[in-house]
Amino acid sequence: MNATEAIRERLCAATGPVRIVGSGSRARHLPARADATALDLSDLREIVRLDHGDQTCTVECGVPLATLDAALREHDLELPCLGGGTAEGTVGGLFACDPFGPGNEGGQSPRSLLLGLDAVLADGTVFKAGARVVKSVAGFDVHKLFVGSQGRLFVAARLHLRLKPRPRAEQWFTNDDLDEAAAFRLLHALRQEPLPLPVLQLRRDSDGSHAVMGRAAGRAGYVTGVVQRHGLHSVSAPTSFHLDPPPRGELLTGLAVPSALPELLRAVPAAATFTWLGGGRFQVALPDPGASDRLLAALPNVPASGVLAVATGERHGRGTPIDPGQARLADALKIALDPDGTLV
Amino acid sequence: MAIERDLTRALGPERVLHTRDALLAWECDGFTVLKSRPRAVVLPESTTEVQAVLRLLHAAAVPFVPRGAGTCLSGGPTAGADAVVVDCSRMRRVLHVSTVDRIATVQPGVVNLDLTAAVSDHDLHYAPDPSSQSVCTIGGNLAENSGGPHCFKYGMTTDHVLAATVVCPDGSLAHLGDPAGPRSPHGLDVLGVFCGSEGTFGIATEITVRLCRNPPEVRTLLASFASMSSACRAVGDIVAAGLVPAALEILDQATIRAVEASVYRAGYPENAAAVLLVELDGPHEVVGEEAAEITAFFRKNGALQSEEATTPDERKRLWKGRKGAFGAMGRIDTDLYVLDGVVPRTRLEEALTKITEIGRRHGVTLSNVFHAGDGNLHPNISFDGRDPDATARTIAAGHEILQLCVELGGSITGEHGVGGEKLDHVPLMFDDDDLEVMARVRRAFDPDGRCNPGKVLPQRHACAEVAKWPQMTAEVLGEGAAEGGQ
Amino acid sequence: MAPSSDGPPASYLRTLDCVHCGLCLPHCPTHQVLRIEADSPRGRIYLMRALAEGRVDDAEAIRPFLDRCLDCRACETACPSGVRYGEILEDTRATLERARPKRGVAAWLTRTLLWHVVARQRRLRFLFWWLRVFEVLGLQRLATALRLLPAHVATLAPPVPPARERRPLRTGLHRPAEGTEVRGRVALFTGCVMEPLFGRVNRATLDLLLANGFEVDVVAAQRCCGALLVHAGQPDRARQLAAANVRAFRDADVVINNAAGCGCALKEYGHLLGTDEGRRFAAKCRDICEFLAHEGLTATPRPFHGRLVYDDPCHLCHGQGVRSAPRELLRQVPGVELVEAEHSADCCGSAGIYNLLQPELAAAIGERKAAEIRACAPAAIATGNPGCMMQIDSHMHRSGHSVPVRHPVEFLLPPP
Repeated sequence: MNATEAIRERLCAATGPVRIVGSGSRARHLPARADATALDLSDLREIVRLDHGDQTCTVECGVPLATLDAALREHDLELPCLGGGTAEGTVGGLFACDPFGPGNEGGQSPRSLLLGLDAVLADGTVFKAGARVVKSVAGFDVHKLFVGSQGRLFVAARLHLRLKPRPRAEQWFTNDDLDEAAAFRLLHALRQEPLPLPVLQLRRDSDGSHAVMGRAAGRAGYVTGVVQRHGLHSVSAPTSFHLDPPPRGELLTGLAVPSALPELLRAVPAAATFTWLGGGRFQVALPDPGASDRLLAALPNVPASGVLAVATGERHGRGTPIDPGQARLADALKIALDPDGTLV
Repeated sequence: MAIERDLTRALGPERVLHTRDALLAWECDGFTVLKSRPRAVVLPESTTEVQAVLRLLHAAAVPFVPRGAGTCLSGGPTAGADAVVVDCSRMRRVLHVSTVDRIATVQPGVVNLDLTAAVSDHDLHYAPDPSSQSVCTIGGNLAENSGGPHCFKYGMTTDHVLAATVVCPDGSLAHLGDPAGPRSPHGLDVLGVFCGSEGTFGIATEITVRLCRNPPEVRTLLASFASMSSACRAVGDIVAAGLVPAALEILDQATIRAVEASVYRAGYPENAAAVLLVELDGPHEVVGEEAAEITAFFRKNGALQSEEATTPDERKRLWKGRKGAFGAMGRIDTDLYVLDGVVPRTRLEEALTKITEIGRRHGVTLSNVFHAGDGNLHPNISFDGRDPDATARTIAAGHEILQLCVELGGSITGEHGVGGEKLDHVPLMFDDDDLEVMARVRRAFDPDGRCNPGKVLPQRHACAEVAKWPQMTAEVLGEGAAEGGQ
Repeated sequence: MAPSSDGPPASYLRTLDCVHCGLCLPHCPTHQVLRIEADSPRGRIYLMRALAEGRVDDAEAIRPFLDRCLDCRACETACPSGVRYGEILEDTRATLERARPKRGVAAWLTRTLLWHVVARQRRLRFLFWWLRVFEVLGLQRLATALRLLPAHVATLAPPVPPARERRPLRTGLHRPAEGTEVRGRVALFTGCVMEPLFGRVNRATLDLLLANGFEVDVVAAQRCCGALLVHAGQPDRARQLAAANVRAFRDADVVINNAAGCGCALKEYGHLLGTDEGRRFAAKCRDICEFLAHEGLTATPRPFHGRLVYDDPCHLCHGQGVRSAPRELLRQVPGVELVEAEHSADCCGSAGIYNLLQPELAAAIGERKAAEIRACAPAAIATGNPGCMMQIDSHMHRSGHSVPVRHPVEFLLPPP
């Protein structure tokens, strides 16, 4: 039985609201609704096709990212939105949650890497969108709607992904214990490199110290050059790019343009930990709901947008005001694809 | 004529055209087979004016079609006789540029290359570069999710569009995306599905795009080969070695000859069966190393000759032929049917062999110029559109070629879009359920179906659209002949 | 104008060369200003094709779009398919004019002026005498103030030079000064507007040729080139002039001209007359810069210290394909710093009598041109066509950046 049929069967068997579960990592910060049936897809873990010459692959939604990464390594390929690091979770989960992984001007966002998919609507309709090749504009890009949808529009069974050659050389680095001015100088200098760094982050800890972290990648001579030119401190590849909220604290994820960074840092409470993930994305680990609310209220003036990604109960998903036009279209899309509101 | 009167009141007489004869100029885009005279043309200049126009059209239940520079190759902006063309050409202001954030916000009528010119002083450029980049607009690029030679390395339009202000078909406004990133942190990537919707979801009136830094060095390499197969194998070797040149383009002999006879002559060797154009960009030392590797692949695959250009003038010359290739086809015959199929890059050689065979079988004049790095083929069929038999053979060959692309695991269109042209080919890729899901998404944006109706999704159970082309051409010309009293 | 039984006209077949790619659009000055498809080369070709196919109900409806064309031919330079736009346009204008001559005072005046005055040098000289009187007495300003004359005419009309400068060249053979080695003999086409308005340019052209060792025959029987008549859709009258010129220059091996508009028309006599005689004449016509760049300067020009902008007249760069010759020559001027303005090959908006017929559009195009030239901060501007010299001068003046606008030959003259 293939993945679409399996999902279709499971969907038809379920009654009431359904929640998609991959590796289960989402449950840590967003517990399932009590009335929802869990639709576990972690057994759909086949790499259906890996065309290394074409640099594309087709994978089932439950393939663990680590498994995919290992398979790609054999052919000197990688999925660039992983930033060259390994992450927990499944491929389906990565795209459905789009957890603001590393990405910047040089990295590729999930929107760029998802070429197409085979999916199932809540009513059991099996459909496909996009294509398996690196370039196709046939039909509407319904598959792009999967990115960041939290599995609430439809269930992706198989994903067609674009792969990139793994850089011939790479070096992870962390320059820490910097003051704000030094951190900005280094960040700015690294942004001026002719080849954008695939990972480039800025972090401010609650003790007020700053760090610039990232990954220089490319041809060996160039990587060595970058490390030397900027006096970068080599480290081994990190296991996670994400902040964990302190006990009883919350995690805010948001977007701001680089020029808003100084203003953004002023708005972030000193007791919080802040990471700018590159590509305009940032995360803030906040000590308590009060601090979160104050930051959310301050963000529109930065300007920046943000949403509480890890918070309990009603607070989860609270964020800066969303454009009413965009909200209306998002609602219309939800009604169009899942009129009964099955996927939660 | 009430709607014409209301539109005129809103925009003034100079920006509402509804004299029947004058409207002939908007009868088609770059896909000249599909011809239809719109009901009227309006030329708004701001978001507010687009809203005003769409509100009037909404109230009067009149369909409309957004249009940019009319360089689309699939009949996307060709409007039915009952529809009003909303021509965005006059919305040509660059509204905002941030050199620190490397983004620009522009009106939809800004010409692709003009945006690059506007930011070049800051050592920045807008990366997606359709061959028509000196003419086509950012609004059109967003609607079509346009590609171009440099998309191999830098990605398509969708990879560069960060945010857009969109006027929905009822005249309401939506701000999609976020200037800081590809999607707002609040959830759905609505802009992601809007991009490439071929003007059927609404009109983007302010578009924020990512700008890229100009590379310190750019080098263009050109190699000629005695056979198409060896050129394709060289491409395979380059891609397999993990090299990501800025562009990888192939022109076949027929194209080379047409280009060399035109003002875009680039000095391509006319006796070669194929020329391969490779562009490298990046830091000096990287480009140098990559050029050496690529030249080695040229040699390995028996290149007849190769040359390297580093100065802007020399590079421009090598590119000139590629960028002018479509126009130069006018030298072969009166009409040109540009196909846009995609195959996996591992199947290029096989695809080209079979395409030549299909062309021979149907007795059509074929030439190939394509984005080899992406596997995006552009088989071009030159024909005389006034000859129904030649047109019919052209269509039959085209259909078979696209079928072949799908069978090889590819797509019927890589960058030109479905428009009104490929409606019959869509079912080669998508079944009824796939299309129903797409139709639902479309209805979420345009519940009344008034925004560029009849494009992208084939009408269910409609008889073959493509088969009507010879008849359509005959009708359009026949109508004229009758009136002209031949 | 349906395709006739003995085959469609050649210009209709030329419209079929257009594959609607649109690469001409950014090169069209009117499309750049208006951004209206019907005001682009692609759109106009499409309209003209439809007209020829009999698909246009009322030709008057599309006429404004064709009238707004400057006929600058920038689209021909840009066209990858090699569409001969100029020929299509001129044939279509002639067809329209034949079918239904334009009405109205302006059209009548244009026709009358073109045929009865401009094309007849003596009457033209007489007109300029009156204009000069008019100007000296300050009547022009008075007329504008009283709104008897549209403002654009008053601002565009160049100051008429004093009689001394309007004096025509002596006809007959001129020989280089004693001691100058004679390199050959050429005939000079003097042009009907250049003569009274820019007599100094004609004299400079003559002196330059003499100084560089060429005998110059100023042929007496020459007439107006007919370009303005062709553009106005009156090829029959233009043919009469063309035939007269072919006869007048029968004995010349090389016919030199110094006005790009005239030069382009002379080189198209083959198409206009459709005879071998016409084609032979066309083949011996040369622009002065084209000729001298090919032959080489033997007399070193007078030094010019400062930035000089060269602006391409459309009918030289697009119409005749002469781009590098004037630049090569100007670079030989000692002390000169030749700079390139942005879009130097774009039309300035002068286009024959276009600035009189389409004042607003011509002004918009002229302003753009002046702005691009101003950006170079030049000490002087060189361009090789009387209309362009007037238009650029007028718009530079209007923007408060008056600098001398000269014909390239004026910079190439050796010290006296």
